Amino acid sequence: MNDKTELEKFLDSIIENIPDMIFVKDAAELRFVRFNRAGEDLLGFKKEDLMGKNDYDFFPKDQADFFTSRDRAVLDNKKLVDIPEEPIDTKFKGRRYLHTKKIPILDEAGKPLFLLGISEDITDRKKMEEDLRIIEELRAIDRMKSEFITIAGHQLRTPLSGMRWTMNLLLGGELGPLSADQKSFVQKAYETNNRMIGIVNDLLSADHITSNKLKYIFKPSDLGELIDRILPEMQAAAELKGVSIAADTKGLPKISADASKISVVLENLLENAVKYSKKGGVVRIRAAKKDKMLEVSVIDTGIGIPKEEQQRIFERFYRAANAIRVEPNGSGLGLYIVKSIVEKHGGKIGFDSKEDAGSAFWFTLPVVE
Amino acid sequence: MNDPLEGKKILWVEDDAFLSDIIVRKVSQYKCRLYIAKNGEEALNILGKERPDVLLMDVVLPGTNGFDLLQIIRKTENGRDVPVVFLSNVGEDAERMRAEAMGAKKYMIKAVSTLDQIIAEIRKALS
Repeated sequence: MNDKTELEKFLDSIIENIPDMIFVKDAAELRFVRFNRAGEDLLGFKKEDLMGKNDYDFFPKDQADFFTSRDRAVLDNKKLVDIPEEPIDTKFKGRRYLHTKKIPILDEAGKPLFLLGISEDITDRKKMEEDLRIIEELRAIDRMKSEFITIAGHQLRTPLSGMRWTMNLLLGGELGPLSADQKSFVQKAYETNNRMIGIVNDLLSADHITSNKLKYIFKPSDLGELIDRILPEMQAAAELKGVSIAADTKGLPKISADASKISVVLENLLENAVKYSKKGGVVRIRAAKKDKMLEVSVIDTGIGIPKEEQQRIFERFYRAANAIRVEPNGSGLGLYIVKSIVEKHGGKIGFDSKEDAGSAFWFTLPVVE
Repeated sequence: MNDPLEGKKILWVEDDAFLSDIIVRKVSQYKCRLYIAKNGEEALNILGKERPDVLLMDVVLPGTNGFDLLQIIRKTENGRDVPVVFLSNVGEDAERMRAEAMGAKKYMIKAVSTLDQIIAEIRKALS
């Protein structure tokens, strides 16, 4: 007798400590005859409250109908039923999702005596799987967006190239002489076309940055040479606005850089400096070695950046209000691209600016040891 | 002061009719011969008869791409050593690097190049 009690205690403690809900119902009326602690925690009902009652006493009718129909199927077929996912409304934890196995317990003659149920709470796992699925969906949308930008960008660039080249011919007098009036209109069309190309390029570059498609090859590079290469076209564009560019970048140490990317940085900063300068303004490029870095500055005497907008100007698509007034067309991507490129080089970027006085943008690049 | 273009043969692979019209107009000012091919097949036909001094080509071509086409061109008698300038609107770094690895003289983006810059690169590739 004593031995049996010990055995009972032993079995009880096992059932009570199993972290999944365990319940046993009688086969005749499906009333609860056993219920463990994990079940109490999950459903919020005490053992004492459940004993002798059935599902209809605790759960909404549709849920109780479902549980009962499964129970009956198990007992009629005398076979385990696996329910991968079933909702259940608990007292304190709201709706939870269970993975339940129901097992018939038969007597020696094979007649069902009890129904044993084991339920694992899979709500958290289900939520995690759902989150992962959403993340995967968002990634797919992102890939589609990126593909769209790439395709649309390249499709747009071809006709834009044709217009650019046609206007090259017209402005070069290669399709016959133009009157001063005609020339000035074609020149405006040429600049507008260039701005459109610039916006498409910015969209492509920004997409390359966000989808990590940019590949960097760092080589010892001469900043002075780089500037000499891009300066003529920039100066030509600046002259049309009555702005001049002065570069003082001779005899500098070599930097470790991806030259084509640094050209993009310089072009962007110079374009901005010219765009936001007033007629007669001067844009200066300076560079000096500071410790192991070369600090390059592009300084203008233009409209400046309003103080309250200064901390946002490296954000994607952000444009300061006074910049939009001067130049309504712009992608708002230039400085975002510039910052990303400089940081990929291990450099820093920043600026000093005062509204209506001008801006000085600086960035650093590693000097070749 | 001889123009490096003078007397030279240029093979230009360009499938866009608008762009090739402009190219024809531009190049006609120089004393050189221009062959325009709209696709890989036309390019190989021309190479069967002519030996160009410089090859310009796009990366995106009907039914093929510039890299695959260049590999085939390199196996032809007339295209074995011809200097190549890629001229494309696909500006991915991966394409640029591939062109470099295949020994291209230059990889230019059409939309940001002027006609004079392209002519300058052709001259450079010829000299």
